[in-house]
Amino acid sequence: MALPLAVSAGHGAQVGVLDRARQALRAAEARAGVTAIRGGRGAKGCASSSRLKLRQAALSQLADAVAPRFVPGTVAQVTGSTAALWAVAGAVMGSEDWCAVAGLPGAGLLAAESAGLVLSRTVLVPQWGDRPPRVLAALVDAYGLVVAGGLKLTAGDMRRIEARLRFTQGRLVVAGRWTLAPVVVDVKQLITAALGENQRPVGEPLVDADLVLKGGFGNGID
Amino acid sequence: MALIDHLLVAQTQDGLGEGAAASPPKRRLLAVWIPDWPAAAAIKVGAAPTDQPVVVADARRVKAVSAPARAAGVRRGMKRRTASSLCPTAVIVASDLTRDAQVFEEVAILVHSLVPGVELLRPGLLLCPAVYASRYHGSDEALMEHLLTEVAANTGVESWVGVADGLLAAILAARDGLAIPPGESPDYLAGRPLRDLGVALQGTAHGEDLDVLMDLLGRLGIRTLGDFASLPTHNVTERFGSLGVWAQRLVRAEDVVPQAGHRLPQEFNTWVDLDPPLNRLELVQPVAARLAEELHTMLVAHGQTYDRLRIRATTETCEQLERTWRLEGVDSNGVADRVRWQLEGWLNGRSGLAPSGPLTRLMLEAEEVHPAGVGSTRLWGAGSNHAAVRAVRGADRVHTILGGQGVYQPVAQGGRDPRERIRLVGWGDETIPLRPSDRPWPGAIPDPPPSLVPAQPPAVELTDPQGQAIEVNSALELSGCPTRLGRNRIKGWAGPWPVVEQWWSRQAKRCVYLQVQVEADNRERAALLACEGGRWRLEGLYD
Repeated sequence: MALPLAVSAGHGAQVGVLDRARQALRAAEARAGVTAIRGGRGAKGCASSSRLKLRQAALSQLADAVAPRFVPGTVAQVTGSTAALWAVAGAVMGSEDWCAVAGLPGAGLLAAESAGLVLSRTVLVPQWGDRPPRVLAALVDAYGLVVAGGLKLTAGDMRRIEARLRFTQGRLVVAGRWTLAPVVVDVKQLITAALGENQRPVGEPLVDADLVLKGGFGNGID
Repeated sequence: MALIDHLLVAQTQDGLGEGAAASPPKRRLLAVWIPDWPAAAAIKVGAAPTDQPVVVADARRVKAVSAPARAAGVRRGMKRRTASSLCPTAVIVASDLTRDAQVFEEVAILVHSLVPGVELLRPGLLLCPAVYASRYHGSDEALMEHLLTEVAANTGVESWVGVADGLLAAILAARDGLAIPPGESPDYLAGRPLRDLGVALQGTAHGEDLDVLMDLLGRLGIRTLGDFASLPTHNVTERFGSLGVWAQRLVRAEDVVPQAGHRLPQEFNTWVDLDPPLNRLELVQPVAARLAEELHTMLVAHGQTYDRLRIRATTETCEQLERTWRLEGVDSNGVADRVRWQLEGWLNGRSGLAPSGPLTRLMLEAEEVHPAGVGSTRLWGAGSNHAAVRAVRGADRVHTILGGQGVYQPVAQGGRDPRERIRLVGWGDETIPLRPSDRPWPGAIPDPPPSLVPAQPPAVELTDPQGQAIEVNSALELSGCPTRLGRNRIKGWAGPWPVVEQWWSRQAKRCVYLQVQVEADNRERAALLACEGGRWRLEGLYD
């Protein structure tokens, strides 16, 4: 997502580059099904976050909206849907990354594979044991992508894990609350096609979700 | 998430693992072993007299001894001073791997002329595929006798020959001069003392680490190879890491070979045209190191590793020279060493078959290529890929923290329901699917699969409009229309999918699957239910 922000032609040219970047991201978000946008402003005129609302969007659209903002070294919080959790994880698993799924003994790994996780490069740690922070730290040190659930960490532990993530440039997807996560996906409703009596089986679901995406580039940057 | 939390709380990790992995295919190998080869090589090149005991040693320790020196009590691993005191008449010769490899080329050429497919494991020990050669000679014993006679007659050294399944069994069978019938190698190995592992694999890159491993096993009360083989793999992984797993596979005669039908995505080779042509030994080292490094870099870039190295050379007169080395526990520097040994062996002409001219082209080819981290050997550690190496170390670390049954590897396999389509293998065990996934599997639950699959599926109550429990008759039909799942109203349902599997066996399965859509916690949820033995259970959630 590195955009050519540094230009030598002066302030006017810089604005032109940003405009083009903004337009490209607007188009991408529109394609992803974003129907409402509120950009929060940070200091000195730079927006610190974007709030997106997806309505009846496919999981792939949700993943497309999240993936550009979910940069290495950060945490994504996903609540309300395990399918959305797999979609976000699958969208950011690189071609050489290894993934650890931890604290999710009921993980539907077949669904995870359908969402993009490569099982041959995935390990499962069903339980955290007595010392979850130690296990999570070991996983964050070794894996490019960690999908974690059932965590109860102190704020201090979270900060230490975030520091390790910044160092290793890994990604952590958390099923549950994570204070100050830069990417927050809150699925309000998972809509499966209505099953009639003895009718067609469950199909690909749609989601209603609220997204908070902090940092990076996007519509929130003015 | 309340319903999900309820489900997850009820789950334990019991039942996640499955039975032992299916046995991988085994290779039938013939091993030709020249005992005390460093001493024999020193005598052959005139570095030691033929009529006195010979001890080959580096600056500190004894590396090899001749039979008379052994009779005087000198053993490998002793200090030089101790060896001298035990056998004052012994001639101590400096250890020289290059000399050993050069002289051994003569034996390799001879064996190659008798049995194709020779692989050098180390100077003094070579392996060949045995199946077709034994068939040609009529039996394993006839092949062994033929080789013994030919090697002694043409090279003047006494060799020991054996045939067995797998690398370790073949080497030890050579020491015993035995042909172990197919399938009996694990039994043959089981009763042998643990030290045989180190004796057989001395000289590989794992040598010193193996000594430490065996010392540790001995202190833990493991006395025989059978004791070591019977340890659960996940415990070995947890305690001894990848070296322990590698050693245990050898002890179980489970040398993994590439699966039949596995095709290489591309050929991995590298070559150099030698201009001017190579005919001087001192120029060999940089060429060998450069080519070995190029091949290593190429494989790392593709996330691959390999178990065999084929070295090819072409002379000015278009003569083709070729030799294969097995890379058992050899790192990238070891590969360069083997290339150098081979080139020097060809160029100095000690084999009696010097090349017809200087070398004009040199090519290295990687064989038995497989993805990093899944092979039988640990060529570059656990795999060429840095991410894979990190991941393996991380899993080992977590395994150590959590203990047994803490880390699993998922393997996709064939099946009809989401649970049986994923096999969870304990960390360190073979990741082999138990059922092929490329079959049609008629009656399988249609995709998408549920995103949550409880490890211990909770029992649920499914009722019809009259409040009667829904039952399944002998024809696998429902007794009524599902209306409620517990206290939650069912808005719609799909199915049922009857599954009858292996009705002829004790593992017979008669089950009916049903998808339902319910309202719970002001949200709609879809769930996969299963009925087996008259009881309904929650098999998965589309959450």
